[in-house]
Amino acid sequence: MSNFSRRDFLKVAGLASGAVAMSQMAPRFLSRKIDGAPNVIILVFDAMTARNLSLYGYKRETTPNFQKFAERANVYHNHHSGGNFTTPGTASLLTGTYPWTHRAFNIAGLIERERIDHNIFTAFGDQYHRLAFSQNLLPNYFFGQFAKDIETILPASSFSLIEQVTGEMFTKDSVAAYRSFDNFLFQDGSPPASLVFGLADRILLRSKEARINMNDYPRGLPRAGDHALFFQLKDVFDGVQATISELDANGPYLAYLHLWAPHTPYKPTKQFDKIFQDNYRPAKKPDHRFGTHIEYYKLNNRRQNYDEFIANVDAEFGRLIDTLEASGALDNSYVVVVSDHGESFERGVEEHVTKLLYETLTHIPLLISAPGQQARQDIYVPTNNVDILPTLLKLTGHPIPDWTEGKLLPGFGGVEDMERSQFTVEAKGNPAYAPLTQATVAMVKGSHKLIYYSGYEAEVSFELYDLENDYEELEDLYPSQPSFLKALKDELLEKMDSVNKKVPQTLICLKNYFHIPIKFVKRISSLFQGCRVPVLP
Amino acid sequence: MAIYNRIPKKQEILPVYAVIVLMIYGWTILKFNYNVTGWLYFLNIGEIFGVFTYSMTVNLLESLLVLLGVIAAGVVLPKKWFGEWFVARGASLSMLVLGLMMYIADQFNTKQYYPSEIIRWSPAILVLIGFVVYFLGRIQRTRTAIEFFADRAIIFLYIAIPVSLISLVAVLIRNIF
Repeated sequence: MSNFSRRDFLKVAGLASGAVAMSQMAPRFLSRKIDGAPNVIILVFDAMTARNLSLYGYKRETTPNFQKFAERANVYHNHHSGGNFTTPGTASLLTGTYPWTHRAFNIAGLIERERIDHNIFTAFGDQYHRLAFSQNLLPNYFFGQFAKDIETILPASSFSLIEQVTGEMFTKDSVAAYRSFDNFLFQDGSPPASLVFGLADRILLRSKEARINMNDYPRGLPRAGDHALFFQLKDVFDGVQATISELDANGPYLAYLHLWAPHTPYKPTKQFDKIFQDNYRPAKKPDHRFGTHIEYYKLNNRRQNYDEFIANVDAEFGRLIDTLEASGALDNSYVVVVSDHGESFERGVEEHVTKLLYETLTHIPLLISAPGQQARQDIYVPTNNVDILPTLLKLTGHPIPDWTEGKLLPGFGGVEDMERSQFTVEAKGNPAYAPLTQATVAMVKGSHKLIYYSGYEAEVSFELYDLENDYEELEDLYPSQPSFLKALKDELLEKMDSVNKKVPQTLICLKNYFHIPIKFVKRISSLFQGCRVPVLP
Repeated sequence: MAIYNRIPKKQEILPVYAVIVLMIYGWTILKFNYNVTGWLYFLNIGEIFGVFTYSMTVNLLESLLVLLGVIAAGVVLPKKWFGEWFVARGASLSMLVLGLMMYIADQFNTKQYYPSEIIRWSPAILVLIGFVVYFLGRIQRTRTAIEFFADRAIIFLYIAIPVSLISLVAVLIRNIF
């Protein structure tokens, strides 16, 4: 024993920790294999509006590879998101419910605590290996809420060139840790709330950023918003490809892969930089009173950057699909290509932090390729991201839960119902536990779209568009009061009334607060059942 | 043994630590209050409490780290320069350095901006702070005023330390179970 050196100790410690790690991982991979069950790959491109994709008729040739992929997929031409930014949009996709049900409609909000079992990962059950990855931290809050039903949660910083994401180190308490560190103590974009570590973190991040070689990125390296996470598109797509290949060897799986691009900042590689310096000028639309009044030429410049970034994403997507196809990974997989919300470059509004719900913000791409599908099918009826959950469950032989508000997608067992209404909700200024009184709601029914603005002005207001004959939403039909308006308006207002009656009353009650299962805490907290905490104005 | 003797006494360390705690915790609590009105829109009290526990734990570690730095200065520097009037000099050093850090932190208002000028000048500012601290200790009136202030600040330790320790335990429990 006296010969047991420091080096021996390190070897034994390394082997022991490796063995412990392997013992925890092995059962997860080995216990679930079901022969023949199809895999599901959901690829989410953050902030990708259908309105800027040549796949859907956009003037610039932004997506030749998406078009190529569409030749073997169902292409949904009138697909909408549940919200106009990541939190509600992603929550609707993952839960199959609208924001008024899942209640995650504030920035960095959470799904209603009593509904966290109503999600796609839980619904797939443990016969599937469930993997979740998002470069955007906001969906990672949801992953934390669903953690017990996700075998593998890849850290947001995976495949990044520079990363200083602290929350992901706290795997057992990731929701609180992300919010505490990455959304508060060390959050970039404002002075850090942590004076010593936060400042050190900030200086370190800037110095790393300054040292990085950005020859391939003339506008700088893409960054995931305020998160301390810089990446190269190539690395991210390589990482996604490697992840899928790894999963492919281990039986049926559900992989939710949420990529930051083409979200702002739009920073393509030099190959795609300035490729759209053309004379394209989109229809000029009047500034909206709730807009930020950004000038037309600035919006067009940003649109150009966005389009170039989309083209860059498209090229990487093409490379990914080719690689997966060559490896046979797609032979038994449903591949869903979708976004969480759109992006705006019109009416004085840039990006998507807005009260508005025009098509640029809500009309998103949806392509679903079934295993072995060789022909393209185009579907034109209105559909919504809430429909993806029930459709995938049906396709993989799972029962469709009664809590979803989605319907089966046409082309995969659903009916083409032009009379079905579907909704997009924006309510980031409304408390999650209160009725929706400050919100914008868009209802698409058939070819018409009714937009309802509530709580911003003294009186509620409406806009009405005919999407079939007025693709750009230039002519508001509401002032002319067409005959069908009353029925649409009544339906929307009735819907608002009914959802506002179902507001969760116990969302912020103490009984939901404590993660620590201590009996006396539960007993004491049960005394507070039904309580509400006042919200400061 | 000589080095051990140079470590300031507990009665001297406490007021200095109190000043550090006041500044570090004060900064975070200010930011916390700014954010909490937004969080109340969608987080429950337990979740807000969770952010608070992480913040207090981080503050505890930060304050101990800064205190360690001040004590190290007391040990390393000649006694006449720093250790002689440790409370006054330690407290003023903490106030000035943390004040400088607050100023720099406040410059990070956007994702792109880097306050390179102030950071480049920081070593010179720190030397200047060193001189100021030395002279503050030599002037009886300022020395007394700083000691008075630091002594009164100890009251915050009675709140901050128990809260931080409870927070530390809460963070550990949340991450173990």
